[in-house]
Amino acid sequence: MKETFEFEPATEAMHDRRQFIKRTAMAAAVAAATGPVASALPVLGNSPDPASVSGAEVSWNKAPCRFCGTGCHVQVGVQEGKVVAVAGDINAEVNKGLLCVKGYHVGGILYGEDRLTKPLLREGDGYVEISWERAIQTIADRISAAPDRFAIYGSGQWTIPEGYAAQKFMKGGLSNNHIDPNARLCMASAVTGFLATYGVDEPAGCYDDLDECDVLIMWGNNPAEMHPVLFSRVIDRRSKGEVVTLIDIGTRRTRTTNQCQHYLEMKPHGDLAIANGIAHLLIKNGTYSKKFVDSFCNFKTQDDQNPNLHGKPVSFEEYCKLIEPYTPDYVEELSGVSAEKIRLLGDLFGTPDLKITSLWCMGMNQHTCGTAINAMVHGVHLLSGHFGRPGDAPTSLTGQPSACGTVREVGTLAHALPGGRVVDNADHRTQTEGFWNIPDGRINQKPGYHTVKMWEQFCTASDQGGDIDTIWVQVTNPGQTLPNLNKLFNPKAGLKDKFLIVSDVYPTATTRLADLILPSAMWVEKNGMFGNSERRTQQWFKMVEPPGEARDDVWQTLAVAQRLFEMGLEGMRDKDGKFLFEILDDSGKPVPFWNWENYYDVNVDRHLFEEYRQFTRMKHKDLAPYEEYVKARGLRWPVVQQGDGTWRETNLRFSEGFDPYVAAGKGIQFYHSSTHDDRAQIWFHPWVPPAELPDDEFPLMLCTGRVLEHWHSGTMTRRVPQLVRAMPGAYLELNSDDARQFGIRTGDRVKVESRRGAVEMNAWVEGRGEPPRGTVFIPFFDETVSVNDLTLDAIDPFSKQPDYKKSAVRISKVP
Amino acid sequence: MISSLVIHVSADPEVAKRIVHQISENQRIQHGPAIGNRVPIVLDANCSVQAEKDIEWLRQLPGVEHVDVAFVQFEESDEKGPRPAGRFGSTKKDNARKDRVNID
Repeated sequence: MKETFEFEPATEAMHDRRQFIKRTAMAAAVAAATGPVASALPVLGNSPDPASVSGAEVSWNKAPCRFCGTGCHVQVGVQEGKVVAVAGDINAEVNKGLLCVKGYHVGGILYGEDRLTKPLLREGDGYVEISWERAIQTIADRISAAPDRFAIYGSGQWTIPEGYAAQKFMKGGLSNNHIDPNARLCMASAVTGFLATYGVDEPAGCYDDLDECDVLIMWGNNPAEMHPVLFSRVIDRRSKGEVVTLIDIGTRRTRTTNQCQHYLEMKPHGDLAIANGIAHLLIKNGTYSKKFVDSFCNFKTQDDQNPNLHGKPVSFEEYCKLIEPYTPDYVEELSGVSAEKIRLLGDLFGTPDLKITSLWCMGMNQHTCGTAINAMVHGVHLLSGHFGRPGDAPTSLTGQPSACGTVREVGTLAHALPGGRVVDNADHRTQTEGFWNIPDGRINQKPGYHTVKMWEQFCTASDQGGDIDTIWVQVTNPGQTLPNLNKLFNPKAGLKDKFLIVSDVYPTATTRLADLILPSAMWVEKNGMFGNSERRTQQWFKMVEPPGEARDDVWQTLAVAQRLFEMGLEGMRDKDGKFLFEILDDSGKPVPFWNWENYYDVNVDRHLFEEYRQFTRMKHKDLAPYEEYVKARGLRWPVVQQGDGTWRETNLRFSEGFDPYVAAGKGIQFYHSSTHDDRAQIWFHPWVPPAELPDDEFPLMLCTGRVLEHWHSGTMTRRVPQLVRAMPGAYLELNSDDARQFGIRTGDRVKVESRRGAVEMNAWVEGRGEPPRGTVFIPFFDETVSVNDLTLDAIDPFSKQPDYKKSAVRISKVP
Repeated sequence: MISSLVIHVSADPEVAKRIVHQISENQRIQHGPAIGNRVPIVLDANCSVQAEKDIEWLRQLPGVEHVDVAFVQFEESDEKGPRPAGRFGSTKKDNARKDRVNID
């Protein structure tokens, strides 16, 4: 047996490079194992000899990970202009020095060999390299020819300044609300669920709840693979001997299931019945929290005559009558989960001393009843009083790093304005016009097209009513991620009058049909700010140069805006006739940041953020000055200045003692209540079946999703050899009984067909996940297996979010 | 390829002791002193394939609850990216970027 490694601090005498790296690695592991109280890592540059992994100077700086919505912080090591190492940031509260396998390789995403480095313009069947000057002019010409037929399709991967610049450009500059993000496809139903319940978006709780809860219920959620660092916080507690009950409510067994004491396998849409079943039991058993409900809640149901997020008020008695049919036996019939397990959930929620945290992500959001199920899970917590103390909260997770910060808070949605405002509210428009110093009435009061509608209009010929001619895609990949691609994306190929602009870092399924491709800087090649799932706003600085002529997305937007200003487009002027995005230097002279060589003469991110920060107070989502984020590993809003000048973040909203906006003596105060009485709304929604069900022709239910090793559409992680080897391509995951019935074995080539399209891939019989009989799973990360040729584009009526989890398909072995 | 990992082991001290013993016998792995139920690990593998195998081996050890990654040094890697982008029109200057086919 070899000797145990003894950790010693780095010294100048340490010349053996490999040994030095190993000591650094051990220091990182020891610090991570010790937790956030550990002394700073040598790799952070605080050691006596920060000299480095290769003997030359390595500089270290902080950044949030580029991938999911967890918001882990990494320390990025840069040497000779290149990222050479990544470490979990021990000072980050989110991840406490740990990373998942994707974060571990995040540095590698910069160095795929096919990075886009030049603007490319379609010419015939190919592309020609063009100058940035020509690219910017081309976009400006398209916009000025028909400003109202132009749209921007953005992303929850936009940084906050990127999204803010695009938002102001469209709504403040072009009076055009056709701007929507891919986050419409991932968390729009969480937004409408929060709005319907609390009157204001985003979770009351935060990740601290994972450290405090007694029971963790995952609703259609697989955090072991999708948010592994968060999941490890809970597993770590349990392995230390703490009692934490984990419950997985899902449609297939996953790595999360393996860690849970209870697995409740439901039929698709079974969650609606389960939530009603819990509410039924709380009332029938008299275990609902009368005090909480009487003090802080109203009851609502949907208004079938006028469907909206305000619904129809009902009394408690009427609510009880609506919920009455959802007995455990009836819920078992609807959901497939045994009555016994429904009673287990009812008993847990009926136990006031327990602290219960609910987690969810795409399983509840990508749902034609997404708003309903989100509101109902909030409702179960409110009805039972499991709300308002650490560990006792319903908490949604996001899939993208700034779905909250850029989309929900900056409001880069077709109906929204920054800071929780909406375009169809005259006061909100007036406030926004004031902040932007633009003329009264400049902002269009009519919401623009949401994502599905935007792409439908783009993929419809102009002479047939398709009134979006040009879309500029930034930081996302709709050619792979939109549902029903044969309707919403692929028809573009035959529409010669439509023009697709794509800013990206690599060739993608979207650039395939692009007319103009712009090479973008990514992650630490630019300044940035993200806002993660727990209301935490994060900042980082540019660390390395982007390759070739790749440039920042903010710059691209502002350069087009300035070109339109030069061309005399009135919307690019403010009330004083100045450029809408003017930035002055210390001497009061405008900085010509639209010239790339001058872009970093000022910190454009800081200027945009400070302007945006003014918007955040109306909904009590106050942000601190930019410099506070430079110092921190993120701060959770509302961030409020204290008497001593310091800034305090908030870990629990609406609860006295935690949230600075709750009035003394209130206990709980839903201060943005839609009923203006400081109360939240408990909703009843009936169970309804999915939009599409298996039948004789298409007998299987398809669920799509993600895998641990790849993120989103795989454009970054599929450039990292280690991740590709670990998970090379998409697969059809199916049950062994179904496999026998169809004569399919692992590795067989299979054809999967729906009413919308067909794709081929290899089969994996009960591989990583275990789908029940009659269901199959395909991950969407692999652009060579275009699973969204199969998916349905049915949407939730309120959030307009599609359901990627329930499409009827058939399978056959490819001879 | 050098990685640092933290393994979360069972609260049962006997099980934890057995795991540490098993880890000690792997020549590519060095471990630091256990901190509670967390054991810091340095993995020195000659390639990422071996590293992945070793990490999976750690995950599968009875009593190992979870494996987290704290640090990776990948500068020495000479592995090339897979160029997965399946669909991209050709450029006049770069015919290598012609449409690519399924890499499965």
